[in-house]
Amino acid sequence: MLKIRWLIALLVAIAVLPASTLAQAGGAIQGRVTATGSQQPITGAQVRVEGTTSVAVTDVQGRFQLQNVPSGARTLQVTALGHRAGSARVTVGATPAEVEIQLQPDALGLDELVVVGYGEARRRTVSGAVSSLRSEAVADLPTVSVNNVLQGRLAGVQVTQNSGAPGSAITVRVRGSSSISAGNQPLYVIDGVPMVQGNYNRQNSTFGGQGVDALSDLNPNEIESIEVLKDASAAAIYGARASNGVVLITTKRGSAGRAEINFGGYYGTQQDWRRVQFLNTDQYIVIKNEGIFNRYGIEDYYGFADDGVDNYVEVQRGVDTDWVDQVMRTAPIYNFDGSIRGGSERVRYYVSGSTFDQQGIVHGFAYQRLNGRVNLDYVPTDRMTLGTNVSLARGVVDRQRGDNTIYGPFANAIANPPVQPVFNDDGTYFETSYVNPVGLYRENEFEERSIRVLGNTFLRYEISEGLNVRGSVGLDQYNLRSRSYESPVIGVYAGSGGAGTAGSAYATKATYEGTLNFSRLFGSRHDVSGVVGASYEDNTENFSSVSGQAFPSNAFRYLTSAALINAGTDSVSSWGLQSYFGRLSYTLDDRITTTFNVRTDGSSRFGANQRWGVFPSASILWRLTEEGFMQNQSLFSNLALRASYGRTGNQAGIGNFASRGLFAGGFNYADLPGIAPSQLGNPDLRWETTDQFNIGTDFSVLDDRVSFGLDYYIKKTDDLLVARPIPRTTGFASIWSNVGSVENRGVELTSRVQWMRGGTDGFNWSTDFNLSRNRNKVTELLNDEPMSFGFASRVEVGHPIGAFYGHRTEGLFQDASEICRDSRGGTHCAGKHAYQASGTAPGDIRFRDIDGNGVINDDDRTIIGSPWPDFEGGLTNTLSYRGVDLTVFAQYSYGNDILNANRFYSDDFGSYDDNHTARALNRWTPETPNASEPRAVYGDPNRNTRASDRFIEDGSYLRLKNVVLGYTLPDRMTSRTGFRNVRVYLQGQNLLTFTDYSGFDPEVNYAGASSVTRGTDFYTLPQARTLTFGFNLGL
Amino acid sequence: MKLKHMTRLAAVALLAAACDSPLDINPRDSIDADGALSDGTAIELAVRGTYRSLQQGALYSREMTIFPELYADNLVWTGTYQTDAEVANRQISTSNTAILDAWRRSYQGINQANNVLASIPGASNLSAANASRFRGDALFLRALNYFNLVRYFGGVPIVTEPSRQVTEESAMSRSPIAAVYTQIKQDLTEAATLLPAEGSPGFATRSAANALLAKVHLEMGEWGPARDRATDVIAGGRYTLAPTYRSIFTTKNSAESIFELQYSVNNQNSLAFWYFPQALGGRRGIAPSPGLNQAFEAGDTRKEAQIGVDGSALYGIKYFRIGNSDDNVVIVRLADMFLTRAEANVRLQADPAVVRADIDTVRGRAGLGSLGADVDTTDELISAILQERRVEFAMEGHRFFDLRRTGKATTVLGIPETRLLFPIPQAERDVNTKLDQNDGY
Repeated sequence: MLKIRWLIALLVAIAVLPASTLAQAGGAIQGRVTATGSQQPITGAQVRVEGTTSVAVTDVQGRFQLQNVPSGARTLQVTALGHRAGSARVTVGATPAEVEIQLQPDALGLDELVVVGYGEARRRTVSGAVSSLRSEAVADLPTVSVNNVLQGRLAGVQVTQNSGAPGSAITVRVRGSSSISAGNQPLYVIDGVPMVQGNYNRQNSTFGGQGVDALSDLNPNEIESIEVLKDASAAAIYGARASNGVVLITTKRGSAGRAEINFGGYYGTQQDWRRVQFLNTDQYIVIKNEGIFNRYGIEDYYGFADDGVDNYVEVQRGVDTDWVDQVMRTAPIYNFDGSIRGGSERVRYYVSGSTFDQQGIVHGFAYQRLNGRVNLDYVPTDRMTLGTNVSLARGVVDRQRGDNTIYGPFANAIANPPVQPVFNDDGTYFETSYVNPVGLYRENEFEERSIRVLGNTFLRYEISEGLNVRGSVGLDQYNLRSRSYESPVIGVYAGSGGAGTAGSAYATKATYEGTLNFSRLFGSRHDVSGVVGASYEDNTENFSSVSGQAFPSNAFRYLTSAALINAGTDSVSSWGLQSYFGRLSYTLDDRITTTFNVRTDGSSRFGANQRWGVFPSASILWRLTEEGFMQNQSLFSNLALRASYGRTGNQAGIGNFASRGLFAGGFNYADLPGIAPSQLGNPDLRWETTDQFNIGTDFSVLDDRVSFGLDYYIKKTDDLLVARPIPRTTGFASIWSNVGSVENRGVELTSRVQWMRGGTDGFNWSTDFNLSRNRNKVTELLNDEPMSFGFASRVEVGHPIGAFYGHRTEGLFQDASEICRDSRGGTHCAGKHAYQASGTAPGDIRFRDIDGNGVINDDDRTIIGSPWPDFEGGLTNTLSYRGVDLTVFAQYSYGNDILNANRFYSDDFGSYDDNHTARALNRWTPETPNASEPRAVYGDPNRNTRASDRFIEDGSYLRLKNVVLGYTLPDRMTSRTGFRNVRVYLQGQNLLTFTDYSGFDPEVNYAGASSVTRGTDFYTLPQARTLTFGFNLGL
Repeated sequence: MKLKHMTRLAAVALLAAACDSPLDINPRDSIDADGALSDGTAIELAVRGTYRSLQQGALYSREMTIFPELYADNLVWTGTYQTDAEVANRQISTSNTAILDAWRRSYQGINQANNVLASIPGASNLSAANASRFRGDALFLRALNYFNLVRYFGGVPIVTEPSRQVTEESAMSRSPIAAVYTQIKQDLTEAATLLPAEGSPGFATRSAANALLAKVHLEMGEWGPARDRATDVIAGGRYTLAPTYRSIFTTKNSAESIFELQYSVNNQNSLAFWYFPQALGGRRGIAPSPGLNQAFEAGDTRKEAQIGVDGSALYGIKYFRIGNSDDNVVIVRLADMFLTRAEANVRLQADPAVVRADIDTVRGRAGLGSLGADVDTTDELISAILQERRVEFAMEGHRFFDLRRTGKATTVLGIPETRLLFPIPQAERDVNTKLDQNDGY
């Protein structure tokens, strides 16, 4: 019903509005836009006739032409990237008016239009904390997703690649993590339409929590700009979903003028940048034998077949397999994309397409994307604009089991001992201790194929000057087909004749939206603008899957050949969000801007009593440099103070029916249907709310050569949506509740220095630097009971979300007397219980008796680290001289810890079959009592591998993320060939990484984007070092 | 004027969204808990769901048959799960998630049973016969879950009402061991009067209730009732020992089986996968111990029926359907009744020949000769029964309980008294401060 009403409303609007839109014919205006000082022509400047929709864009010579402008005195408004806005008065008559307009360079972008929720504003009047990124800054980089693009670029936006698996999900945190169990990713809005985001693959356990990122279907090259709304003032217009920040993506559009064709591409190779050192065969055998001897007193358990000793395990001499090398490869990456944009005053278009292909540096992983986009604007009358944005994308992810698994090629390459060969003499796979990783990637297939249709249609009508009504309908349709085939030859299902699954996710998000925008200058001083609107969002998700077993042979890889179909699911779930919102902004004399936002959201996820939430905000901006008393100083070319306060909400990450007590089906027994209680109800469930205070300043000195932005914020989140543990004696483990609070406090600093401003032909050098510091702290939990996650992660009051929790080590025991002596001086060797464990011996780790009771047990665990950095950010140097440009971008994270969970197994010296890192060579023996590592002993009776600070490592890093060296051919050469511009470049990604972390890569999150298990490395794929060569051609 | 007109139009468009309530969205693959079990059909579905709850990994799909063997001397740890390793080392930490899950899943089944029990009185379209049948099922299943809980943890909270809300009262303190057993006996005694005499071993029957009751009495040292209930089952004549030991497992629902959890290709467990070596497509996370391997007398057919050899490595083959992963799990079978009665009789100072006759019945099926008449003291007979139980029920989840019941656990396993119970999971104590920890943890 709702949708029909909406459509009717829109149709009526369309039918009624044109009646008033007839405009009389007029004359033409032509002219040129140049830069003040250098007199260089400005290309791409937008020239708009005030009070009409006539718009033109300047060409390479800076020239523009406007037709059919109503005659009389008109004002032209001119905006251009990198320049302050300008205007000119012209009189339009029978003969074309000629005008020359000069624009001031605008290093700060104060007159650039910034996309804010449901509208745009000049940066000069944006009073909230909004960070912007222009596409030029990140062109030419071999990045998959818009999220990669954001990494290290914007203060307060923390981006972490969870895994090096191509196409995998990325963690994005805007001003820290505000939630424990509900979502922490920001809301993504593209061209005004909220996107389907997140991971729709249902086989996450197979991949250790690494998801497929729905956002990776978006080609970064078609993005014009990205705005991140960080504080409550900016984000509150998105109300209930804005607690984690909002990322507004604007795609490129056409503009009137000659068609501009761009074609570009790059090709390159990727490699791992570091290898962890593991033991070779000789070292391995020594340690394994030592381990067995120390436990059982048996000598020479392992040995070579030809060593003349009858060993329990005989190893073939000459075998010394470097398993990691067996699964790694040098992998290609390429991207080609083309676009054409242009149009007339009535029709403007942007059409683009691209193909992207990234093979993984571990065999069996790859990501491919094909996409196309058409953005059209049609101006049927001077007051009306109809537009449509349509994007089609196809993504294919190939992967293998990974992370938390013993069936993953990379995991098993780390785990398997060097004494085992890859193949038997007859060419079959050798049966390694952990299933042969080469066999795994060769025989097994996991693929995800997505098709995405993302589009919206809008109609904007100018009722009168400064008053626009806009209606839009958006659709994001995301279909993901997942398929797996696991061979009967090797792997988990070798005993079942192989197994396969075929599944699909079908997610639809439809958005209906109506807004009324107004903007008016009262007198010459009072600028009032704002928006009111309503929207409804309808989400439906279908999931289905079938799985089967027993395939005839490796040649049959689809379920149709499986002898057994052993499981099938098909389910549907929906939710809706109904919203009303408004913004009022008042600017006095360009000096003071105050903005008020309010949004009320109703979500179907909550019970009728708690359904609606109201999210208001207010902010103020004071531009001191516009004040009279600042006119006599020359230090500050710009100085502004900002403050804001507001409330936002969060409802992501909980189920669609989390508030209800439910019985579910599927509890079948003896092949007969059965039901069971599946969830306890909580009718009081409500929004998570975040109150955020922000204060900031922007200032620049030395004629804008040096500019700074500084923000401080306090973000308090209450009523956390937590699946809180309850007494399991109820029959349930948890219930969704609003319990607890989290606080994030932080400082953000951005600065830009223009060392050299040499103009087009001179030497230019600028430096952009950003630094963010966020302090996350859990301030309240239900009864302040801590919660545990992952290997050793914890949510505890007074500590950051996901702090590491475990034992503290106190060196190694050197002799028996130390072992018997507990922390209180008592001796325990006589009884069954020694101080720590019954098998403790010299060379084992002494753990600290934190509670001082003379026994080492689980109560002696404490907080031992934090996965969150003390500060992080990026540093970009941009240099150009004539045709040569160089960009050097470094990104850093300081003070974060990593739990290297690989070492639970790889540093369990002398136990089991896992190979060890080279640390094993520093193990304790009676001869080397000063060793740093514990003794080798089979079975680890002292539990030296228990979660402790032994495995917490400093995860700080500084990474030379991207270096781009480009050369643009001079005009005289280009014009001869008929091209508008020709540029070639070399790019290097992750060229250098400085870190003390001992694993493969410091950017790791084994369980995907989860905040509570952040910073844990468990067989996680590392990032690649990439070298690419690319070109851009303009026609 | 025009402006006013337009504004009004826009207002209408905006208000259109507010008229109906599109936010009333209901789930389409679940039903609201209130009124979910209002009729006989729904209750039958919920009964099946309660059987299904026994098939959790922490219960009979994996750990309930593995942990009592791994904690004792029948299985060794050969895998990667730290939760298993702690059990194998008999150093279970209070944070062991597998133990937590055993606690949780047992109570999940109890809550399901309580839902059934509470809904029967008011249900429509429920015949009297079905009402008593379903009540019997629910009582039996509740008792089995409590029996598992009390054997793992000692005294535990006794919950007999379904959970609808979380309240202060949801945090309950532990009842003494005796009280838990009283509840179990009460449930099983009533179940025995309600359940049908005949039926598939996949569902509870009167014999299943009596068999479980016999085991409960034995565990409590109530030797007379233990002997009598075992005799009821044996003398009832519904069950006969399977002709060969192997056939108990190769044939689903053999003549010997009293209560056997039903698995199928659509409802699998991974027992064979965990026991089988990689060469056969398994993971061999646990394996028969060398001690178990040596415990078999020469000629005992049970050895090759239970233990396979891959190179130098032993692996369990009791559960062997790795292809379909649908091995049934036998929870109680007739041989257990013979040995239960034998043990009760020893304690009742019965004639050793009577005791030996029951043991010999089990031995005979395994291809072994009778015990000598010189096995006649209490100690010798108990040792003989323990030995017999060890090889008869290996990998069926009895060994640790048998050692503990006969007072041999501390000496055989070399553990202190404080390791005779598993720890109450700390995560549960975190949310329920009324729960005391077991001594020594």
